[in-house]
Amino acid sequence: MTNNVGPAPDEIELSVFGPGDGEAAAIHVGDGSWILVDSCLDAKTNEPASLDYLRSIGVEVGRDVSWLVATHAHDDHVKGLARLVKECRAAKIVVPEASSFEEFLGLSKLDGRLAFYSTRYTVYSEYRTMMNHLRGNQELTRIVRAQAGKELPLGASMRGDRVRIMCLAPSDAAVTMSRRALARLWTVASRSPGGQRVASRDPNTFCAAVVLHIGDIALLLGGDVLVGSANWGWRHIVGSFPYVRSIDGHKVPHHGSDSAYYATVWNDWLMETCISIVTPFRSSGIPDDEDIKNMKKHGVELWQTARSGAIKRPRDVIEAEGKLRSVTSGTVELAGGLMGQVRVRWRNGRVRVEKFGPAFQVA
Amino acid sequence: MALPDVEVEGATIVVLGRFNPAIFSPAWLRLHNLIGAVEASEADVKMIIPPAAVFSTEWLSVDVRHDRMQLGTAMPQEVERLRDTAIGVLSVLPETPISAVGINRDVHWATPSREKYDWFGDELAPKKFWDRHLKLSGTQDLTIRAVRPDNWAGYILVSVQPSTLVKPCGVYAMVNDHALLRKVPSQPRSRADTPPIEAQDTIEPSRDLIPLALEVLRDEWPSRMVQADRVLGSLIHMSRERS
Amino acid sequence: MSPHSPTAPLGSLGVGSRDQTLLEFARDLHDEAQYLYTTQIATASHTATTSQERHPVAAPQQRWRSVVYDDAAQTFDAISGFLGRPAEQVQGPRTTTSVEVTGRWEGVVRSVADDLIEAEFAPVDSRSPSLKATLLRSEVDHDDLELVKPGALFYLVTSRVRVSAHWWQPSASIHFRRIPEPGEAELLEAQAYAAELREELGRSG
Repeated sequence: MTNNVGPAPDEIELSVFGPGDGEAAAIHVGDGSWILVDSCLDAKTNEPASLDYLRSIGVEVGRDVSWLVATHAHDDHVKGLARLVKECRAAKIVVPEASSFEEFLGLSKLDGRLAFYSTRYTVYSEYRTMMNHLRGNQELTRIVRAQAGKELPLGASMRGDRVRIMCLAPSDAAVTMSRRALARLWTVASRSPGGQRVASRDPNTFCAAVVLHIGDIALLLGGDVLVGSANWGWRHIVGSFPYVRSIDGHKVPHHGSDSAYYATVWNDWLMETCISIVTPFRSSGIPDDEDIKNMKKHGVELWQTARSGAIKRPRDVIEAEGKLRSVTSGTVELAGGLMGQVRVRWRNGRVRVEKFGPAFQVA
Repeated sequence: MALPDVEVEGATIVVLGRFNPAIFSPAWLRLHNLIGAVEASEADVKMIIPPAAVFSTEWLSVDVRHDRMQLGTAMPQEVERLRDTAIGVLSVLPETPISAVGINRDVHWATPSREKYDWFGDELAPKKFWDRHLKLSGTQDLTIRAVRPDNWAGYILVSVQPSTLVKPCGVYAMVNDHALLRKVPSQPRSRADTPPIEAQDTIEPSRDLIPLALEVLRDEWPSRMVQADRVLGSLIHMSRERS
Repeated sequence: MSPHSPTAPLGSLGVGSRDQTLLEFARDLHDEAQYLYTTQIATASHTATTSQERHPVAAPQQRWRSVVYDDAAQTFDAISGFLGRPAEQVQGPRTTTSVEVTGRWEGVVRSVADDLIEAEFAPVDSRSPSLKATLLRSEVDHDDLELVKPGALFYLVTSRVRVSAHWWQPSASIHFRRIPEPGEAELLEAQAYAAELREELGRSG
């Protein structure tokens, strides 16, 4: 099955990409207009997966991508982001509120020194490259900061219905907590003994989540937002946005892990016919069997873009394992893998799900 | 860096500029977390005086003079750490005026026999002319200079000599990748365009050139190592096979 | 003298040759030592200053040897003796056996638990996909243990070491990468960048 047939102008599409160590989504809102969420690289082409896909179906990315949402700055959600920003010239860029704080901007600048040591394992190179590009082209006005309750108008779909993006996270408290955490990271980074990266991870409180309403269809993209507490995360979101219901398409947050699993969302928000899609994070083996059990018990149709566990290894990986036997415990595995895609299309009350690459429906 | 069956191989990074050797020491490297505590305490120090700092750890050799800093290793498994150390030193000395960076690879290897040893020297420097005027001429030292494949000013130098370490019939070869910290719009396209061998292009050392040096060490290092390995590998192969 | 590059390693000019630069250096050194000697004539004792006094940046607690003599002639002899050796083609320490590198990876630590290090790594200077494995903390060099933390960068190098004419022994090592702390200037630059960009973002709404 090939995936290079684009949606009809009145067809809504949610495509989720994930090879095992990255995640991205592409949403067709109608009339050839697209929204992209996060970015990951296809190991075969070394290009952003969503860019490869859109080009393969004939989308003029410089014109037809109107929004780019970067939910947070973790490695597995930003690889290729700077390239998307550059290529999708007409797109507004949604970034979490905390990414415009001086603490974060300073960390991303300091991270630049690590680029002399490793271009692969720097932390904020995508954000830094993105900001340098926007600044250099005087395009900082493309940036829109995401905070819970902020609505981003998208314009009319072909049926005259309004298309809306509503930010569900980060909350005010999450933004404040992010700021404090970033300040601590700055203190560590400025006194970090040799070999330390600037910060291995910025806080998950940083992360944005959005709900899209496109005509009758509602899509929930949860980024890596965690369960949280009364004033941040899913607990806060459910309490603050009681009118959010009837989700038809759902990108499962944080790779289906139990730290992001909030039963109320699954019970009360997702339609019975909702299609839920999870991208694995193979380095941590999530979603594991327990996670799958949690999700499946709600009776939803669940798809996964690639396997969570070990995958078939090419010969060079097996050879590497042999060479590294004396310094490793267990096997050497691929951190990522082939790009998997789950594509859901809605039109005239009907829904169609297709899978590509290693993607599969979770039984 | 997988040269076939050689006796000794190493790499050196040389930075030209204006240095203060007196500040270099194992303790100073340790202070900036460029080496470990045990490494620093067990370092072998030859001298640390105003004109020169010369010391070594288990894997790293340091030789700093007023006009140059030389970091080297003769352990091929430490070549990447050597690069890290050079980047680290330049990072903690942002005020140092510098002008050029040399990335060097060298190797000693054994040839299979005296016959092949002599044949190898004759292949690199034919003796037909010399034998008309001299008796039993042999190759003592050969240096070839070539243009760079990128857009940095400078050149590539390859030297071949009899080895002082591998005896008998050992060969030593070195590839010096000399980069002046200045970009050029293009490299010479013909011999007629190349500068005379004796001309040594120089530029005024400046601390503003440190980012360029870091760029060379980050971006040029992989391809420089590959080219050096290719040249050295071909020399080794040639010295062991006879066409 | 054969032409050479100023960035070639010192002492690489040939077997048994004396590097002109080294001789000049020895002369400079002698002049330096003479200066020190004459300035100390005025003091009652000719005791050499300690390395700490002459080089305050050297940490006093370090136990490494320093070479400073209280007699100019002794200084010159010691240095000349070192410099006067036939030029070595390979500088610094070296292994006495052949080592052939068979693999190099650069990696990052994802998490650390007890004796195990969860890591991700990929071949150096390659676009190959990342691999993941659990490394043994016990295999990390003692000097590097302080660096073992999530986010730390490291190298994995595999090689084979020649044990005899026909026998090679495989070997693997983990070395953590040492990156100096950012300097004051770097921190100030990062802060200034952040403040400027924040203001620009604020102005752009």
